[in-house]
Amino acid sequence: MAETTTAPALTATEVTMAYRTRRGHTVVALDRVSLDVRRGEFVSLIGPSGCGKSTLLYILGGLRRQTSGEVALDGQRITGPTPRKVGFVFQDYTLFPWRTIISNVEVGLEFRGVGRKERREHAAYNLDLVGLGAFANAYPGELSGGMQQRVAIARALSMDPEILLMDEPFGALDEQTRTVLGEELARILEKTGKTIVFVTHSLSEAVFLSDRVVVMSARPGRIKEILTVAEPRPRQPAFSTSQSFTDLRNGLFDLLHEEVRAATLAEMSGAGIGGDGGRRG
Amino acid sequence: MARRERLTVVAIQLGLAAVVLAVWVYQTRAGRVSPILLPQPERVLDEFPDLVRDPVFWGSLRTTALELAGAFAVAAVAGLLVGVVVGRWAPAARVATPLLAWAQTVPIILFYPICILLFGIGPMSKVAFGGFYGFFPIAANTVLALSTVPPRYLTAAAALGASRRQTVTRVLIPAARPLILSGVRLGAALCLIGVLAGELLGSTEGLGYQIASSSGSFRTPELYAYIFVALVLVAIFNLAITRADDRNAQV
Ligand SMILES: Nc1ncnc2c1ncn2[C@@H]1O[C@H](COP(=O)(O)OP(=O)(O)OP(=O)(O)O)[C@@H](O)[C@H]1O
Ligand SMILES: [Mg+2]
Repeated sequence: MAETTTAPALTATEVTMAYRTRRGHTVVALDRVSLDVRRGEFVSLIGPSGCGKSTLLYILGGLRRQTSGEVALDGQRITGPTPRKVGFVFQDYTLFPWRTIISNVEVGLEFRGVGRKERREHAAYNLDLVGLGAFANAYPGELSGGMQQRVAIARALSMDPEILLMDEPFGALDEQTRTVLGEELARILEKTGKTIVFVTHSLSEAVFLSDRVVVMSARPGRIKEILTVAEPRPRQPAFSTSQSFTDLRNGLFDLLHEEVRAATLAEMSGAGIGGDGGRRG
Repeated sequence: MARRERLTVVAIQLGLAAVVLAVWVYQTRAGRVSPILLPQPERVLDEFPDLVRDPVFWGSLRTTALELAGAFAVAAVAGLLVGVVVGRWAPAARVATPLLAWAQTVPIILFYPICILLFGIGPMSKVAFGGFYGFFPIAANTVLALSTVPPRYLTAAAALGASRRQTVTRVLIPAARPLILSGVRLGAALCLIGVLAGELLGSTEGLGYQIASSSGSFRTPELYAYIFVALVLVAIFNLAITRADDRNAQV
């Protein structure tokens, strides 16, 4: 969006996260990550599997405590979840299987104490927005993975947060649906002016939707580079066939390719199947 | 289609019952089996008109039913209470989980004489023993259910702004419910065993006492009639538990 103000909504300063595994090893998932997200901005995180994207999102949402460094929301230190301001779409969507779809969508408003009728209306509106109005009374187990993810998006939107943290919300979808939903999401967000941090593995999706794309390195996760996509928002479908789009996408591909290759070879040699160990580079 | 399948199953079950009955009739007619061990079916049937006119029979039925209700109440309340405390409080879980597992491998009937010493030969010892018997699976399943709720549900609840209380009542309990209910069902079955075994082993009233006493004095037809009544009581009790269970599952 052209209208991004300069005031950062979310800031991460030198955030480091070291997990202690059950066997007593330490896994450094994030290494001194610093990032500012401005109000109204759409920022994508992209990087090899296991590089700490979900971890960063959890920390930004106050759902996990970093080992060191600071995160702040509107200048205030984040110490726990702030459901009125920050909405979350989880990588594994975690709908509650004992609740119907509509009551999953309204659950946040229920926790907030909103009356039954009002939250139902609100939930129904958001469920229609993701195209699943017809499934209001189904149970999560009766929906496909991609549909459950859309329900999780509706659930987050129902809370009407200023900031949405989305962890691969279209991960389980085919390319076509993904594109359509991406355009749809762009449209919804344009209207609401929300700030988004968005994890994805799709280069096209990242370029198409974002103001900035943050490329992360293989574990320990660091920020390798930040690409700016200058194209004004709302983006038109024509953008995805333009030369600037292709250039950006290719640039992203090169950046990422090195990292994914490094990460994959490290994993394979760790598992004892690594061949020539990347000497060919 | 499913209906036809169910009909077939019922038909086969009835067929099996008929076979058992036929063997029973044949064996007793031919005089091959002593009537002390196995009376003729019609002799057992003849017992029922006498039974329903006998106040002792109704008293016994009432005693056993009340003991059962008491035992189940004790097992359910204590089991759920202990289960919730242990399941939600990690230090307690470390202490209690192996104990609960161990208790399920121990023949609890060994403790029955102690129950009699503590509570006397009357119904109280059956309530206590049946309750004790049924307590373990309920507590153990509740612990397991609460401690295996996927953490991601709790994370999602936190992100959606659930208070502590809401997290327990709207997320933890519904997530744990199926496993807890299966513990309750198992506990109910063990309460039954506990109560009836208690009556058989040492009592002055109840269906189990009547079974033991008619067996002891070789009133075999009466023995069979009482066993049949006990089975009917068991069936009714189990049906009630399953019904309550299904209703819960729908919520
Ligand atoms: N609870 C945890 N305990 C121990 N290690 C963890 C935990 N959560 C994540 N990790 C480790 O931290 C690293 C980063 O994990 P994270 O889930 O943030 O990666 P990711 O970038 O989201 O990966 P993906 O793209 O596959 O979703 C991984 O190596 C993972 O094994
Ligand atoms: Mg992830």
